Amino acid sequence: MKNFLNYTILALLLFIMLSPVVWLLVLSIKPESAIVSDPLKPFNPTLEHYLSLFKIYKFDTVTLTSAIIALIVLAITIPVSSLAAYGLSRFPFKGSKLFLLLILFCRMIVPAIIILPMYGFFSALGLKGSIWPIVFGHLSWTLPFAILILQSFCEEMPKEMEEAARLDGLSEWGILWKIAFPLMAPGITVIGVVTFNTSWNEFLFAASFSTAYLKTGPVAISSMIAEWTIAWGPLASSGIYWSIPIIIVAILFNRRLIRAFTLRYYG
Amino acid sequence: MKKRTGILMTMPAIALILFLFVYPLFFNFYYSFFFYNLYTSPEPIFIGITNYVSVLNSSIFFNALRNTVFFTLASVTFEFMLGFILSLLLSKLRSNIIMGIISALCLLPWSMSEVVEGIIGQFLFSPRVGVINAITRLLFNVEFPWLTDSSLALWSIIFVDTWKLTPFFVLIDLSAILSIPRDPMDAMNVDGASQLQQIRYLIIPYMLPVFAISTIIRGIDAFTRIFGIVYIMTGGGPGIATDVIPLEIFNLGLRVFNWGMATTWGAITFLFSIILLIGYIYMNRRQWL
Repeated sequence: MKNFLNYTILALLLFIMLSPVVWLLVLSIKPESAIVSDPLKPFNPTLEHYLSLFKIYKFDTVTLTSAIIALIVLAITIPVSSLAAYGLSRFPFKGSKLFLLLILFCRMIVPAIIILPMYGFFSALGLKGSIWPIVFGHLSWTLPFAILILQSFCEEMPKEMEEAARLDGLSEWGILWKIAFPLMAPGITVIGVVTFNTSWNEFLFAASFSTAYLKTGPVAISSMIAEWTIAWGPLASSGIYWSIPIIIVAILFNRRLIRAFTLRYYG
Repeated sequence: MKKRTGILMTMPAIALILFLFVYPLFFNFYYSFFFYNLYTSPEPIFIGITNYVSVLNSSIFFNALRNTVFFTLASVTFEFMLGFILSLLLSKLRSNIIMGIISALCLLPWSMSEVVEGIIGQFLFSPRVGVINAITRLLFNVEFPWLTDSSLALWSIIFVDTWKLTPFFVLIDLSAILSIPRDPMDAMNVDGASQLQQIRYLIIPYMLPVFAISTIIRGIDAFTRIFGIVYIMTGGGPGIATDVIPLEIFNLGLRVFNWGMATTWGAITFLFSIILLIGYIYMNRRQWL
């Protein structure tokens, strides 16, 4: 009896958790007229909204832009953060603790205050309207997070193998490359996944620095909501379309991601 | 030698952090003392603390601050409580397969974009296509102006955010509950303790550090990063009823191009971040001091 009650509450809560996504999915295959007339009426499913994403809303270019930005952000975040995390945990120097504290502080800053300095800097360089302000905006989210996680990951990594290699005469950089990085691989994978997700989904910097010709996915989605009219069907299909890579990543890496939650996340 | 290696390895990170955070801080403080509007005066004019005086005298600032704080407190409270209850129920299942599936499902809303979250909010609450109004119409023949009523709009946003981020707490709490040693639990069972007593005297005390860290992390993120969901669902409206600090900085800087004012907001919110940091260090003082 007690079990039955537990299961009922659980099922109810799960229904609440899942139904919005299911609802989005249903709307994305519903003809526009049926969406507006009565949300609960039955209908003939259609794929027109998904096709219009590419025909009208240029989601091919948008996807490419977002993918390029995410790849550049990954290519900077992973080497920089894993090097720093290893250096900070194995060779602490004067001020290294202060630097960690500064990174912690970076996570508590309101990101919106970075917009104008970046805008000013990249305008002065003549790079306004390029992907670079967006890339650096994304780095301001991913980098502090990655360094903090990987640093605590390194702290928990056994040091014996590195010491043995040192005795065998391997250089510090050799140790880093041949021993430390392979040991750090699970942590780096998690960082990679979270970094990709962050860049793919990020909206604040993308909205600040996008132009009519340069749009990431979230910006393209938000521009479907105009002042007076909203394209409901394409809006729903774009939400589903944009979440597909994220869902695939979540399924592929779900065990590692969930395990990462049990790590001490923030220092 | 060893020390140089450490600095060398950290150098790229230090350079990027200086560029991404320290330069912006100076930028914000510097221009907060200027009248600097890109439309009306391309050259900044030094005006001392006038910007600060006008921000601290404006109801817009305190309205945005109140909304941001209220959103943070309400959403984190709901997410925390729901997350704990859900993970307690889940931990009772004792079936790895079901638990695995549910954990994977939990990752779903958590990893979706805040923009998609905002769209879902629109589809739930908007007057024409919203499913919640469709249901209330069907059952009670009434409609609610969820997104256009100044007292309901913020609650709608909190509801959607609670939906998205409760899984964050479920994942953290669930792994903590499952790591509680079995022996005291069994002993309590033998002594005939009720489920509520077990929760009260064993699980909650054990979970206190996890509660602290998860609510602080989530609270900081909610306070500093609320943007997309408000932008998509209400745009800060109706009027300024759901205006929040990041949204207002965005609007001041990139809509009206009043950079002097935007940087003043930035400088003031920076002081909040210092308070957050001091609180955080105090809570973890054993590790940092």
